[in-house]
Amino acid sequence: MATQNIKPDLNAVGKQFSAFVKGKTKDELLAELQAMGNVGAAGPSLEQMLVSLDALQAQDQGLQKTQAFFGALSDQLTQMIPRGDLPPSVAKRVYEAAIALRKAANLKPQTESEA
Amino acid sequence: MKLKIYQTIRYYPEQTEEAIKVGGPIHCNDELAWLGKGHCFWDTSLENAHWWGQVHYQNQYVVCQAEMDFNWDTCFDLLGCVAHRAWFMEQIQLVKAQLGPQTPVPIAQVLEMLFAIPEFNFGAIRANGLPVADRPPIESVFPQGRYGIDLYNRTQICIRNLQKVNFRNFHVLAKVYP
Repeated sequence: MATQNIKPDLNAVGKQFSAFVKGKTKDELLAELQAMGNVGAAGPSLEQMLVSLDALQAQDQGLQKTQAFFGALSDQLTQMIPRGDLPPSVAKRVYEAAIALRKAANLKPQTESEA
Repeated sequence: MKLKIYQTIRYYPEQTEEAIKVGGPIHCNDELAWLGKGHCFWDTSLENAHWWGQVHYQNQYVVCQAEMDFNWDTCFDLLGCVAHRAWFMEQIQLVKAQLGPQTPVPIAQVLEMLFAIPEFNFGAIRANGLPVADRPPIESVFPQGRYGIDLYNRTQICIRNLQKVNFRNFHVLAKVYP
């Protein structure tokens, strides 16, 4: 706990950050930034994903796109449902749709605890 | 300095005030976390907390209030500390120089990188979020009309370490639902 009381040293941080950034190529730096997670990234809202889901099912665009879409949807669910930031009725609908998609794509259904 | 801060949470009929109090504050780590991972609050403005609930939770929301200690040793202040703003601009320019002019600099990810450095041990970040498109006009303009003060306020505080800012008195202030 003692280290938490040390004031932030912006000079030291700046030197470390500069060395880190300058030591990377553009692609390496982009990869490092992406590794920091999906924070602050502009992504589709759940409502937008539901519309896309309906459209995708209607158009029957095939397995490859279904799998790609499911990956994105699964990421959203993984973050939103445990956090409680989703009305239960919508969460249920999304979960059921996701299960249906997985079955359609011949993937193993996700368990309740995973969702 | 003591700050009153507000967090807007989606309302569910089954939630009790006690459950919200015990379970809160909500931690944000997704695409809405524009200041990086942490507990996001509105600084001082109760009006902003209600605005968020109206726009993002379709008028079904709970506003929680809390208090925190604020100073520049524990809060990286991109609103009121000129030194912090200037230093952060240097880091952004550094990243921009590596990525090239056409690649946008992801602010939240840069902040996450900075927090990975042990010496960048702030407990919170404060910033005023300005819309890039349809930016509201500057209302407070000096007489000749060439300069003004930007008083547009969507100031948020993202708390990464609750103990470090002496976070306290988290409670439900208002419930809004049909």
